[in-house]
Amino acid sequence: MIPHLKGDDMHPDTVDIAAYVEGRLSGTEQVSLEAHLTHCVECRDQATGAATLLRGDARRRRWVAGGVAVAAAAVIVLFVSLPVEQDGPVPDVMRDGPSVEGLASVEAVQPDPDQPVHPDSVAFAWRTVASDALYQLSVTDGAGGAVWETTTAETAVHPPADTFESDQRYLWYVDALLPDGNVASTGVKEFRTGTR
Amino acid sequence: MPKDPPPELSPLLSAQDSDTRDRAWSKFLERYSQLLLRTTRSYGCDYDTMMDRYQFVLAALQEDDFKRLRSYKVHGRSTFRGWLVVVSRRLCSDYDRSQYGRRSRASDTDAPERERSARRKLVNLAGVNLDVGLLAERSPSNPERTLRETELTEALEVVMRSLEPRDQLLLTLRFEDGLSVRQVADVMRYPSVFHVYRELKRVLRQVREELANRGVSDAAP
Repeated sequence: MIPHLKGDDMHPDTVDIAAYVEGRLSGTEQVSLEAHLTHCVECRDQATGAATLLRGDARRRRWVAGGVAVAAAAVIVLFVSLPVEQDGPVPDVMRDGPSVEGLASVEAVQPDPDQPVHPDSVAFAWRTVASDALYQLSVTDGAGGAVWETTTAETAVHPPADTFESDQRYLWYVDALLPDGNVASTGVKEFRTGTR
Repeated sequence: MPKDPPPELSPLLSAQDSDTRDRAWSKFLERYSQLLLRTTRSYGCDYDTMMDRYQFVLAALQEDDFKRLRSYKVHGRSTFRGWLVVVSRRLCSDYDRSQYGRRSRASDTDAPERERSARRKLVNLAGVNLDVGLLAERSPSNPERTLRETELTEALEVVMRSLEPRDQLLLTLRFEDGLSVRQVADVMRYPSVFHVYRELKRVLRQVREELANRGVSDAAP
């Protein structure tokens, strides 16, 4: 019997597996269930499949009509290409992206906007939106000039060496093209490089 | 924390006549049929099999006056959607077992080889120098190599058991189940794949150190 969990002597209860994949177990319950999952192929299969379905389902429910999202993405590109004072503050509309109600969003994870990063160690990461999404990452300098761009199905990328200079401010955003043609975006984010 | 059951569930479970029950069931399916279809589709196979599986799940949910749905209890531990996904996945597994026998990602006869392969990957990634000969099949003509591999395997199993449950699960998902780092991140709720890479690096370093403490740094005979 797994302590702190209901169910029969062999496997945790359905509620516990669901709660685990949703991150709703207490610390002790999580430890107990993870100990069981390590040795139980069947329950691991259930948890793995449920996590994949629920993550994709959560993103799918934030989708909006393609037309609105495409227009919003165009607005983001327009803002980025406008000249920005090199050392001035980033306007809120650029920092967070346009506040279009219902706009599907991609959550940016890395780089940390508050911590300078070594120019050779810059890496970008964002959360999965849908299992078949295609992502386009665009990086510009503070003035909106293109620096680097890539298209990927992954949610993390490392730019080539020497892409960034020391002590500079950069802007970046990720647009996600979803399987049904809708678009989601991180909105414009910024980071700074430190000294080599 | 959810305080009430989903609005489609209560009318269904409290319906007193067949017409009311049918209308409530239609409402329930309007809300959840897509989720159930995605679950059945995730098990693969052709369209007809998928629909048979879907019908099986629906029938099982209605069985014994919705006994399974009545077993859902509202509390903070999971949402109804999450609970329904896991229940329907188990029903899909039941359906596949009834049609095709035991469904597993590897047959029982493959399990030892799968574990052996996972151990090799793990030891390689932990940075232990492996004699190429150790990767060969066990052979009565190589008793020394067989013995060395046995010692290595036993040492690795001891080290694995000493890890925290979460670290054990991380290695199991990645090397035994062969999940991508993205899938691992989804299951274990890491914020990003970078976090998964970082944790893997930490755990593999720990495995390497523990193996070294047990005299396993160079497995060459």
